[in-house]
Amino acid sequence: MPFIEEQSEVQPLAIIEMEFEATAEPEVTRAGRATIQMEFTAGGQPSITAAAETQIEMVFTVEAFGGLQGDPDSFGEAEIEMEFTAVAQPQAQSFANALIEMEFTATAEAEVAEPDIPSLTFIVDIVAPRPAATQEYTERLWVDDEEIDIEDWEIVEDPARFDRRLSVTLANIEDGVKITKAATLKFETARMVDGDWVWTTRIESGYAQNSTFSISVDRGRFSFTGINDLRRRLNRSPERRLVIYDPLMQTLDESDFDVIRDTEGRTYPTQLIAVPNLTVRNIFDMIFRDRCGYTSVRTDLPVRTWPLTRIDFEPGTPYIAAIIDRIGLYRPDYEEVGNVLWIRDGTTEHPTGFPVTQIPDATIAAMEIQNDHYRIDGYDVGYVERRRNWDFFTYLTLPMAVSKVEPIDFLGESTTIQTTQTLLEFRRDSNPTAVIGREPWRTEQRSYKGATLIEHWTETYTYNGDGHRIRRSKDTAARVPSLATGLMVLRKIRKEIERWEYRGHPFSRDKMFMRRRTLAVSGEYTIDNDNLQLGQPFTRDTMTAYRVGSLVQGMGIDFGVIHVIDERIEPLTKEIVRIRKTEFDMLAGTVASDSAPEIAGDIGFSALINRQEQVYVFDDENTTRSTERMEFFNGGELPLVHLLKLCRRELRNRKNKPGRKTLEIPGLLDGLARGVAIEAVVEDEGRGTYSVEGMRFRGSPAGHFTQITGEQKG
Amino acid sequence: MRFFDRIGNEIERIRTQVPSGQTREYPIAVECHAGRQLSLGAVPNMTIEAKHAASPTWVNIGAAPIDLAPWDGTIQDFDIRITADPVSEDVRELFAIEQTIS
Repeated sequence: MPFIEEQSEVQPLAIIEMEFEATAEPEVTRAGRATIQMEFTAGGQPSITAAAETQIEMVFTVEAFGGLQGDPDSFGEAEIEMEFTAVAQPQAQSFANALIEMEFTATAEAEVAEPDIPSLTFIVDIVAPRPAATQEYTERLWVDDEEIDIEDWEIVEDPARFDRRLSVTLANIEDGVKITKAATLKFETARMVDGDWVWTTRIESGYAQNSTFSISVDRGRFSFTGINDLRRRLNRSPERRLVIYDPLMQTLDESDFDVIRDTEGRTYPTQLIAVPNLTVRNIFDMIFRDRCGYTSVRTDLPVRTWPLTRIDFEPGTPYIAAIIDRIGLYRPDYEEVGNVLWIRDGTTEHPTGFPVTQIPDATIAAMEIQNDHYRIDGYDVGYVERRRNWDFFTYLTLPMAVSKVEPIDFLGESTTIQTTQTLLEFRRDSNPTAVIGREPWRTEQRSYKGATLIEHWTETYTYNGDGHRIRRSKDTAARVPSLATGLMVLRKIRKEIERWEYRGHPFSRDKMFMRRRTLAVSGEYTIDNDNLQLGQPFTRDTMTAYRVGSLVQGMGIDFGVIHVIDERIEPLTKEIVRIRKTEFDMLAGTVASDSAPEIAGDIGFSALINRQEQVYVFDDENTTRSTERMEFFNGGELPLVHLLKLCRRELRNRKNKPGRKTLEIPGLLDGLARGVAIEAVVEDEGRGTYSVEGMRFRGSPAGHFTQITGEQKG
Repeated sequence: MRFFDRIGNEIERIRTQVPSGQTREYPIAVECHAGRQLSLGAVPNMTIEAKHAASPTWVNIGAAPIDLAPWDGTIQDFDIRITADPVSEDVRELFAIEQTIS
């Protein structure tokens, strides 16, 4: 716990600056990919004695950051390094003696909020017993609760789509008029058990997507394609643009986004929802549960530890499209069970020795096996790491620069400018000797006329955690006459405070922009009560009054805001930027200038807290390295601890067992789901375990069949 | 602190079926560390048990987690056993066996 006690006596016209640094290095073990939460408390307790007309301004800035060093380590024993830098700058602007006592105490507590908990996730189907049945099947179609006779049908569950498609040919083409856009479809199949039909619902709350009516020489046909409700619900899209973002990572404001109007004049502003520590789990709940109407979403994807900075949903584009853009690397499988949406990892392997569902060869009518002979050594993985562009900074104080101009003749005086500058040099842990950025931190300049100090200023910059400047202060003391005595005195006469604000870019998801810049110039100004302007005292800043020769002994003086600049930057579409700049003359109480030009250019810059990284991944840590046949794999914001496992799994899937099997089975197979491991043998051929990827059921007067497509994995 | 199959591939997720009232076993390997235990939250409609491959005794890890300290720093074979309750309709459940901090 750092502790600083400082006691200073402030002389008239003095500026006191203090600073301290505190470093805390907590060690976190068994944390793996951990999130660090820190608390920083600081208190300043200035007490002032004998300080007539004393004004104290305190600036207190705290920087605290921490993170895992080196590669993510799911083995634990991770070491977290953190550094605190706190700067306190009390500035006394007084004309009397002041005694300032200050005390700072700071505590830092590192807490592992999300320790790495390795897990093995199971999705288990408990299959209810099926009564013994004959190979007798039938089916029925309901259209708005009216049963319609059908001739043949087929249901396709395609792994590439999140729906179940029904194609039907009607027995009576006159029933075609009942297949409308608004009609609700239900399709059931049944098998004979002990003389009774036992029904299974295959499509519930379905709807017709298209229909075909054709007439040939001997007869007419009416067929249509119906789709189950899953697709309709997942195809919902927002009425207006929706942006869900993490306010800890980005700052967004609705006023930065264009408002779209329709032809009736109705407005469609962008809806912003801020969710601190946003994860994919939040998105699943907010979209699938709250907007698509599911009771809940269950998934084996690592959604709780999968952070997101921001996700944009556009009107007319299904919610699912933006979500697939993020989770598609897991080749997810979507399925409704009741009113629960299941989203399953489609890359899951079936380890050796695990139980599989046997398909007896006696039930198999046909089998086909395809093999893709992939040639791949590894993945070139791109991923986003949530960290600043730099890991730490050091200070670099440049030698004093002296600029001197000698007089033209011996009667003149020389001018000398002495400048001392300290820079921040931003560096990375991986290569600490290399400077990746350099920004000014503190500059001090003294100007002399001959041997007399006539001006002295100090300028200091403050930066946020991303390394962007957020504040600049400049204090200037100049040698001007005292209005009380007429003697030349070096005194503080001017102060500038400049601030910058940043926000997330409204049109570029991963960019930020400088939203606002303000500059306030304060200083000493004169009050002329003898030469009134329209009956009012005339005010003018002291430096200007002195230079134009209008200082008069006995004038009043005060210290206040003289000049203000307020600049607001607004990115428009098509890389046009509008800059509204307003300048205030505070002494005259007027707007000195006001303009809002639009200029071409993109002011967005990459948000430095999300940095694109790259790593090569091979399927086995000990394999012989070869980079001849690499493919790019975009990991997005998926944490590396999950991404590496996923890449290795996909490499094994592609390299070791690239087969694809299609089975044709008489009858309507029941109780099998996508993702389940099956094993089928036909005449001692085609042994191996396959994961069910797609299923196709069909029925006609010629019989009923099930076709299973399986993919060999792991 | 990772899970593997018996031939050394790291595994994260399993998709499986268990017939009503029946039992299935899943042979895995676990990277063990002191301070960690194999544990599980409540799972309806089934009983989840685990045991070290060399042990004859199955343990309901939902009620009594297995401390991994005795095998600190090694990869050990374990077996997972799922016993499905009798059900009259198909049921789907999701659960995770975790290496929590003991």
